[in-house]
Amino acid sequence: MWLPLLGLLVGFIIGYIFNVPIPATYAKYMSVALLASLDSIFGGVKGVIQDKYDGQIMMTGFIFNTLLAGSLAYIGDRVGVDLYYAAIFAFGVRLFQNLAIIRRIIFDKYVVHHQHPSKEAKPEV
Amino acid sequence: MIKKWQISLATALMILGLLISFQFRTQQNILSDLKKQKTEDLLVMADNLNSKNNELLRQETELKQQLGSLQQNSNEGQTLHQSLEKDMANMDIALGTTKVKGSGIVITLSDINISPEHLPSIINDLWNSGAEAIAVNGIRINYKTTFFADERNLATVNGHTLENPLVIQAIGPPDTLIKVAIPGRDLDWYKTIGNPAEIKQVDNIILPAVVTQPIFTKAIVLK
Repeated sequence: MWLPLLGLLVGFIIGYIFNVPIPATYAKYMSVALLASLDSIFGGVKGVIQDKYDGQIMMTGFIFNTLLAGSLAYIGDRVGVDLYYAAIFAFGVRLFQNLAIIRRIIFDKYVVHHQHPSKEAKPEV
Repeated sequence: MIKKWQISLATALMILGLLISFQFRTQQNILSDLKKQKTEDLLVMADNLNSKNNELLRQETELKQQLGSLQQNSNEGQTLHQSLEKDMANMDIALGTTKVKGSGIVITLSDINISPEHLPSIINDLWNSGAEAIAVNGIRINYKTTFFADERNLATVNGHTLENPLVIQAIGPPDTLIKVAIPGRDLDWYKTIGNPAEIKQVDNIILPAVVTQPIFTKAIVLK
């Protein structure tokens, strides 16, 4: 798991060094795009834990959701519909659902298994 | 061993890291923008800045006063220093301890040896005429200079016999020095015997310092 975390750190450092100025007016579209990308990441983590991970699905979902979320929020502002809030709600709910599933799987796999070890007879020492 | 899923997840997380840092920077700029601050916060900021400004103005006034005081002390110091330097220079000239230059006169007496009795009075006449520095045949005259006759009854200065021609150089106001050959005085006597001294004004006379520097061990200055 260290490689993905390293990737996150590297990305943050690169972004900090090469500071790309984003106009303040686009800050809220960026924030909803960030939320969508977070949702995709956690969906990917869930897939890894469930052994159902598909890299292609994850990457396409990541890019597509990120771009779509930001674009829809922007278009919504232009046409007078607050799609920004709809995007926050939608991706926020999915994010926390994914988090709940991840928590549940980790709990079942590592905590419950540890508390209730296998019932096979062990030779006495 | 790196698994496939780690690479794609790492890539996605790297892009996420980039987006997070950009957004973070943007938010920082928004928060620091004055136009977005609350009125109460802005009032507090303005009040603090005013207090700081007043404090700095007060410090500036104090520092300016200190600077003025220091400059004044410096000027007084400089004046005192210049005055001391002038006094020292005068003392050096009077004692003959330093080479000097200036305008004055040169008295030349040729074809005759000066009488040992006449030389001191001629020197005195030059001092009285305003001479500031005198040299006889290249020997600087000061308070310690001795004049006496040698065994051949020739004039000597500090024990050095004065050979012909005699050259007396005097630095001082040329207009008054030029009149040193006062009728009836010793220098005029040489004119009466048909061997007048040649006296001419010279603009740039250089006189050497005395050979032996004076040392005062007993005399104490009384104030």
